This record gives sequence, C-alpha cells and structure tokens, in this order.
Amino acid sequence: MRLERIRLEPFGAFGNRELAFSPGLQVVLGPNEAGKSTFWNALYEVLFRPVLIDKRKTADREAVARFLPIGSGNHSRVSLAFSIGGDSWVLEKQWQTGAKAALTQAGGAALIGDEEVREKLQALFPVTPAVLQTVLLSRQGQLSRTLEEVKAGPALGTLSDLLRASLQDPGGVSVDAFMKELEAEHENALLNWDLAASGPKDGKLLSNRRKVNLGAVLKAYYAEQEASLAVAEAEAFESRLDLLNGERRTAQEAFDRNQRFLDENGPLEKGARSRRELEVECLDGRRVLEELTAVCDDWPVRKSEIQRLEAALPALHAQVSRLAEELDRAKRGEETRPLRELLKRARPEWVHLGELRESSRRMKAVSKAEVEALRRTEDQAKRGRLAVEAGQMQIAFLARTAQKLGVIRDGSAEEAREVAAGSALKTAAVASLRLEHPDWSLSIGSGSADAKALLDRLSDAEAALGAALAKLGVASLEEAASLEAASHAAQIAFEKQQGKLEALLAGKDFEELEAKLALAPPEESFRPVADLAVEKSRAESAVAQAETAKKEAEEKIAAYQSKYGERTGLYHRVGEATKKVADLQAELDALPSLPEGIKDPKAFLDEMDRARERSRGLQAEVSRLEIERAAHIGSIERSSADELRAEHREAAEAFRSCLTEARVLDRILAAARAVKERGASRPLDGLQATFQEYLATMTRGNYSATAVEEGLPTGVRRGDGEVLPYELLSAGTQDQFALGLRLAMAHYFLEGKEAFLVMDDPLVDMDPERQKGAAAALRAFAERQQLIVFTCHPSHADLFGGRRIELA
Amino acid sequence: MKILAASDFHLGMKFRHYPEVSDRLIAARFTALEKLVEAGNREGCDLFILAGDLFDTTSVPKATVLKARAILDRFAGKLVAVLPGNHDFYVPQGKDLWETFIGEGRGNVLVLTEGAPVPLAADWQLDACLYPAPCFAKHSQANGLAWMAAAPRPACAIHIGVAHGSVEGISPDMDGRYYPMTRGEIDRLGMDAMFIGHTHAQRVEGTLFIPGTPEPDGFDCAHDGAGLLVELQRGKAPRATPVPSGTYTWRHETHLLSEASAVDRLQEKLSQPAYHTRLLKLRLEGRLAADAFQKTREWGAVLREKCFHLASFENQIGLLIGKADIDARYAPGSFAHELLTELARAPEDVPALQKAWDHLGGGRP
Repeated sequence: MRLERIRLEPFGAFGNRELAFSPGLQVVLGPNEAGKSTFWNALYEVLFRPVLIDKRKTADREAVARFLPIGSGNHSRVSLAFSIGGDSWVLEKQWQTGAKAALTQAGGAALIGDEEVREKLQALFPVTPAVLQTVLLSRQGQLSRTLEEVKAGPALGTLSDLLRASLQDPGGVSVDAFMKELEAEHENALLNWDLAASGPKDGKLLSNRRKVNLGAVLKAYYAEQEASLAVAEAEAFESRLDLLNGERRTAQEAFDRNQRFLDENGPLEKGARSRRELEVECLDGRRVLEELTAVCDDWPVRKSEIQRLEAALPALHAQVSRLAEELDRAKRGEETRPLRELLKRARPEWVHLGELRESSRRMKAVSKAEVEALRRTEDQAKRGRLAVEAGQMQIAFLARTAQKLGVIRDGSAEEAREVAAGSALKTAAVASLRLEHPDWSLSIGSGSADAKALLDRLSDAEAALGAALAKLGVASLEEAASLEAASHAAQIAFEKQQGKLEALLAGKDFEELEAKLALAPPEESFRPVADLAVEKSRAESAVAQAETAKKEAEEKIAAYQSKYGERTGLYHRVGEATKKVADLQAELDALPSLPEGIKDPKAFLDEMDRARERSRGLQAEVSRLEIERAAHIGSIERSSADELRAEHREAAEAFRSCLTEARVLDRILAAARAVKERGASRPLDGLQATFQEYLATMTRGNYSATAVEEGLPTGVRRGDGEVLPYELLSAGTQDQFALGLRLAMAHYFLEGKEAFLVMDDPLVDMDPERQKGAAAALRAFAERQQLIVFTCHPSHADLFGGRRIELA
Repeated sequence: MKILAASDFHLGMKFRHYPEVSDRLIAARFTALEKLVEAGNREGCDLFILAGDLFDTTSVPKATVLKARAILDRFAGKLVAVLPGNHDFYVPQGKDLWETFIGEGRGNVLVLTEGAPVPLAADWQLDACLYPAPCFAKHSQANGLAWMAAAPRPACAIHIGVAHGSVEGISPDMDGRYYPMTRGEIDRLGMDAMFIGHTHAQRVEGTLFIPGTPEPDGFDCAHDGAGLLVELQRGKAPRATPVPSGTYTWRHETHLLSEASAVDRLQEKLSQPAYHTRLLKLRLEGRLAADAFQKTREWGAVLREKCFHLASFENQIGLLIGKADIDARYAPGSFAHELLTELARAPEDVPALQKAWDHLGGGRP
C-alpha cells in the first residue's frame, strides 16, 4: 500500500489543499503552524474516523468538531489516493453536514458507508489497523513515551526485555502498565480472599474478622455476613418478644378473668359465710332429730322382740333334748357297722364255697392211678398193632388187560376186585395172600412162623383194654384222663375259695358271726351321727342367739329408759328437734344463692380466697413480664426482621456480584500472566537483527552490536568494546535507540509487504552527529518502503534528502 | 357507606440499604398517608380502615407515631379504625406505641385492640359494626377470626371484618407464621366486607378486600402503591376503586438484548418519566455488536442521573468480540492481541474477554 495523494477540502485550517506523494523518502517541510500536523491528522482521520458520529462518544464528537473549518464551515472533508499492487484507490470522507464515506477502486463502483469502507480498508491494509495506527502512523513522541513507560516497568533490566516489551506493546497498550493496573484491581478485589476455598484467608470469618487490608470481595462478604447476623438477631429478638408478649398476654387475660370472678362474686361472700354457719347448725339439728326418731322407732320393736323370744325359747330347748337322745342311739348302731360290712363282703364268698363243694360232689371220680393203669394197657395193645403192621406184605398187581379177581388175605373171606387195563391192584397181608382168577390162582406166603403169634397177642391186648375202659365207665383213655383232671381242678378251686373266706373272716366262722349280727339293731332305724350332731349344734346355737337377743333388747330398753325416761318424754323431744331444723332451713332459704355450679359455701369461700391469692400472683407475673419485655425491647430503635431480610438479600446480591467480578479479574490476570510469560520466551531473531542493523547505521559504528546472551540482546556494545545496559545510555542515544526500534518494528511488521511509514520530526532531540546517523537509517528504510517525514527543520530536511514537499 | 381502606404503611422503615434516598423513602410513606386522607376527604368517605402494620415495628420513634396520628386526625369522615398488625402488634396495657398513638383518646381515631364486635352507630353514627382481629405478636400460627363466627351480631346494616395476616393462595407464608387464613374461613364468616392487611399487593375478590401497601417498600413489591375506596350498600354488590397513593416504584427489570433496535427501544423506555420516581435494578443480558453494546455501557451513568435510584445495574451483555475485532484493534503478537485471543476461545470467558477489552481501551476509536 503506497500513498499517492491527500486532499483536504476543507479540513482544519485548510480550505482546499493537496499533497502528492511518490515512492521512497519524501520530506514534508514547513515552519510551525504551516499545517504539518493538520495533514498528519487528516491522514489519520480519513483512515480511521467514521463519518457517522455517535454523539455520546466524546472523543469522536470532539475530533470532528476540532477539524471543522475555522470560521463558519459545517463540514470537513478529506480524500486519500493510494495504490496497492498497481491498483489505484480513492478514499473519501466527509463529516458533519453531508456526512459520507466512500472507497472507490479506479474503474470500479464505490463502496459507500462507514462499515463497508472500514471492512474493505482492513482487507486492503498490509498490516492490521492497530499496527498501522501505532507503528506506521504514530508520532515519534508516542513511541518515546511508550519506551519511557516500558523502562519504568519492573524487571526490565536487559535490552531483550525492552525489545520484547516493545513488541508486546504495540496497540497503545503498555503491558506493564496494564499488568500493574490489573494486579492492583485484582488486589483491591481479592485481598485476603481465598478464591479457591471461596472464603476469607486464614479462616478470618466474621467472628474474628479482619480489620484492615480488606479486598472488595472480603468487604462484601463481611457485609453479607453482618446482614445475615442482623437478620438472625432480629428474628431471635422478635421470637423472644413474641414469647414474652404471649406470656404477658396470657397472664393478663388470666388476671382479668380472675378479677372478673372476684368482682362478680364478691357480694355473695357475706351470705356464703352465714350459710356456712347455718348449714353446720342445721346439720347438727337434723342429726339429733334423726337420733330421736330412730329411738322412737326402735323402742316398741325391742319390746315386741323380747316377747317373741320368750315364747320361742321352750320349744327350742325341747328340740335340743330330742336330738341328744337320737344321737345316742345312732352312736350305738354305728358300733356294729364293721361286722355288718364284713358279713356283707363275706356272704358271696361263703355262697360260692358251697357251690364248689356241691359241684365236686356230683363229679365222676377217676383216680390218677386208674388212669395210669389204663394207659399201660392201651400201650400194650398199641405195641401189638405196631408189630403186626411191621410184618405185613405190600402187593401190587399190574393188569395189562382188564381183570376180575378174588382176593383172600391171611385166610380171610374172598374179596372181589376189578382191575382196569393198565392199572394196579394194591393190597397187603401179614401171613398169606391169594388171588383167584378163573384162569389162574396165585398164593403168596410170608414164610414166617411168628405171624400167627403176633396176631394172637394183639387180640389179647385189645381184649384187656376193652375190659379196663368198661370198668372205669369211659370210652377212652383220653376221657378217663379228662375226668381225672376235672376232679383235680375242682378240688383245688374249693380249697382256694375256702382259704379266701377264712382270710376274710380272720379265721372266724361265718355262721357264728351271722348269729351275732342278728342280735344288733337294724341298720335302717337311725340317722347318721354326723348329721345329728350338726342338727343338735344348730338347735343349741338358736337357743343361745335367742337368749342373747332377748338380753340385748332388754338392755337397750333399759338404756332408753335411763336416757329418755318414759316414751312420752321422748316424743316431746322429737317435736322440739323437728321445729329447730325447720327454722334453720327457713333461714338458709332466705340467704342469697351461691354462684352457679357451687353448692358448698365453704368451697365457694375457699375459691374466693384462692382467687384473691391468684390475683396477687398474676399481677406480680404481669409486672414481671412487662419489666422483662421492656428490658428486652430496650431503648434501641430497631429495624424489623423483614426489612433486615430485604437488606440481607441486597447484601448477598452485592457479594455475589462482587465475587463474580473478582473471578473475572482473576481469570484475566491469569491469562495476562500466561501471555506475558509466553512473550518473554518468544524468539526475537528478526527484530533483533534489524534493530542491530539500524542501530549500527544510526550510531555510525559507535554502538555497532548488542551483547548477546542465550540468543537475546542484553545491552549495547560501545565502540571501545564496553557493553552498556539500556538504562546507562545517554538521552540522545536512547532517542536513537527508540527510532531504531521503531524502524525495526516497521520492518518487522512489513516484511515482504508494500506499505508506508509516516514520521513526525524524528531528529528533533538529537545532536547533529546523531541526526546524521538517524537520517542515514531513515534513508536506508526508505530504500525498501515509502517513508513520509514531517519536519519543521530545513537542516533536518537537508539531512534526509529524498523528495521534498514544502508547505508554505 | 364509603370506606377508604389501606394497610401496611410500615411507617418507621429505615431503608438503611439505600442511604442516598432513605430520607425520601421514609418521607414518602407519610406522603402516601396524607394522599389517602386527602382522597378520603375528597370522596366523602365515612370510614377509613387501616388493616394493620401502620407502623413497621412496635419500637418506632414517638415522633413517627405522633406524626401519623396528626395526619389521621385530618380525616374528615366519621371514623378512622386502626387495626394493630403483626409488625405493630398490640400489647394489652403495654407502654408502647399504641399508648402514644391513642394519646388522650380524643378525635375520631379508634384503635381496634380487642377481638369483639364494635358497633359504630352510637359513637360514630354509622349503621355498621366492625369485627376486628388484632395481632398480639409478630408471629402466630392461629388467626384471630375464630371469635367472629361465634359472636352474636348486633342489628345494623353492614358487618365489616378487619384482620391482618396471610391469606391462603394469595400471600406467601410457607411456615404459616403470619396469622394464616383460608378463603373458606373468611367466606364462612359471611361479612358484608372483609378487609385484610399484610399482603402488599392489592386484591379484590367478592367481599374480600386486600388494600395492599400504599407505598411500595421493596423490589418484591412491583406495583405503584394504592389505597382502596369501597362503596358498600345493603343489598348491592360492593364497588371497589383503587386510590393511587404511591410516590416511588420499585422494579427489578431484566432485558434480553440481541439486536441494536432492541437497545434503542429499551433506551427510549428508560428515558420515560416513570423512571424519575423509580428504584431500579436493571439487568441486561444477551450479546451485542460493539456500537449497540457501547450504548448500553453508558446507561449506568445516565440512569444514575435520571432514575430516582439505580440500585444495581448488571450489564451481563457480552460484546460480540471476534477475531476480526481483535485483529482490527491490536497488532498480531502484541500482548493485547494475544490476551484477547486467549480469552475469546471459551464461551465462559466472555465476561473476562469483555472486561479485558475494556481495560485495554477497547472503547477508544
């Protein structure tokens, strides 16, 4: 971007004036008041000031007013022609009346309006508007001032620090001034406040609050806490006051109730006292009357009782005698009761013994020896039969065809038998067997000579057995044995029953005992002795009671006679007592009634006494509570808890707001520190090399190089080799330093771009030698970029060389 | 019968949190009372009912009490009936404000200190009977209406209940500590009119009249302050009309601004005369471009001058600061450029970005 022409028509003191620029170095020379500053301002205004001014923006408003034409002008106007890469552009702005902003590319349409023009310019600028304003278009004085501020900052001991700060500062911001301001603000906000813990540092809560060094947050926190405390205190105060008021009101109401009771019932007290005395008298009179009336009633009753008892006593005595006799007879009858009971138990046993005896007598008698003899006879017969059976032949005849046979065994008669074909005829014989068939006869003999003897002995034995059975009259040995066993069992049963009866009667004879019992009185002729004894005792008691009652009645009558004389005197006294009671009751009825619900005058009078006592107590209680209430209220004028709550809400809101603001500050400070830290470690190679180059040119080799440490400059090396830190440089050298720095920064930002640098009297504070050096450096810069220098010194203009533009 | 009703004047409030304007706020409460007395006289009201909390505490200065009494003595109607509320509760035989207020008992001012019918015919020539429920403590979980239902009612044209406390569904009373009343309880009393103080916002529902505070006293009291003129006639529906009495208004306004036109509209609104008597908490939210944003930045100073009292101004509007804005303003690599770029990264840093922008001189051309 290269400036070609600027026209002011009108602007400030100029009604219509134009300056034309060419590439390279141009020097605008003019005496003071010739309008150098007006051109410089016109250049700044046309590039950066909008034409539509917000009147509330003082800076805009004042700037526009300042550059209105002197006299009666109602607008100011500037047009600037510039080129970029061969393209020509014209920027025009008019302020106040007919305000207009337009940017036109040669052969193109115009962009109209502040915003559109601003956006397009930003796109066309080789650097940001900020760089343009603060580096390329700033007055030299501004840069020097910035350097002064940088120097005044902390920890800028080295040249590298200074360069870094200078690089960071463009934008019109002094980093250290900014940091200082920010830290001060941060300190003011957060002093003694622990942001992480969100509370006062060192636990300094309201109870042990910090008195000094309070940041805004801590102050707001204490204010909020105090307001909260005030609310709590007011609530406690009001609660306590509510309590005291409640107690006092309760006591007062109780006192009032009590007092009403006393007021209402006070007039009844006198009557109640009379009533109390009369009621006692009346009670006594009634008691006497009741006593006399009772005696009146009792006396004839007692008399009649004595008569009745005297009549009844002989019969009662006779009953006692009769019962004594009956009891005696019954006792005697009672003595035969064991014998009667014994015989009653023994009689069935005695009868059973007789039955056993008769049964035994009727039974057939077979002795044990007879049974044994019969058993021996039967054994002999049995042995004969066994011998015959042992010698017997067993014949089996198998017929292949059906046969009709005659069978003759041991010489017995022939027995006809038929045998089917294929079946067998089985038979037996002791001595001989013969089979007869019409066609044949078969005889079989045993061959033994004893077979006949055996059969004979058997016959004898069986004959002897039949004789023995007949003798005993039994059919068999078993019957004989059974008869013998039954006879033996009957005998044993008889003997056992006989023993049992003897044991029961203790050896005494049953018949003898029965004869003895027959002599005693019959059992059913007397009642039980116990019953008779009880009956007799009751009869005796009745006699005793009757006699006692009679005696008591006699004594009572004697007492009445002793106390009241004869009965007529008693009746007279009853009449007197009745009258007295009636009189007293009449007096009572005439007295005023007791309060409703109270029947007893004593209870009423006691209640009145208690009510008076209560009144005194309640009055004292009301007084005490009133004193306590007054003491609680005190003489302090208080705010209500409701108002204090509203105040607390405000304080809490203020605290929250303050804390939020402080957090924002904290965030900014943290970010700013980080950015500054990053800046401190940023390589500055390009800037450093260019700066050294310009510095060497300006000082003509006197300060040709900077000391380097860790790749960064730490100071300025003088021609004699001595390294001087920035702060030890002379004022003139420091000016050269500032100019060199500005050129280096312009170089730095414009690297590879086409742009312009505008400077205002850059040599003004230098000695002639330094001016030459500085002018050489400017010429060197102008070889690369367009450089426009404003000056009022012709000698400076001579030093600069280049194209001169003279302002009249 | 014309009745003027009001409640909750809270005379004696100190407004310590607003020291710059506390004197005027304190005075405004008396002004409201004066305005209502004048309105009552102008309208020819027979009865002026004050339904509790005429005073803020039972320990208000004697001068406050006497001043209030002097104003009320100027009421030209038949009677001013004053009910002790929960802030200025009555202590029987107590040596406090009501003793001072009652003074020698002259004039047409009656303090309703008992829960008992007050027939008005004999002493004040009004064919009506009052049924008061005075407060005897700051807090109470029981209201004072119970006796009204059971009390025998004298023969008269109009029966008027006067109570002080929260009304279910109308007044906030989470813990039920402010003499809570239900609508059912109130309706069952069958009064021709029921005046209930404590709730600061005016409300009329049938025969229930909540006069509200005549002079708002805080930011939770977003109305203009008024008394209530009620015309009662046997057999006719009551007619209620608000009687403006407030001087100052309290408003907590939050505005979301997202375009320049909204800023202009709000700016116009804020310049209206209503803000000259307004205590204002203003909160602005949204995101705006630089020009519109800059306008809002200047409102604080303007409103401090134009508003009666700007209690707080929270400008939470974020400036739409983008990379182009930062590039335009600061040289790349410069401290300011890097700091703003760093803060522009996270949305939560918008307030920090805004503040840093301001600190770095973002407002300059």
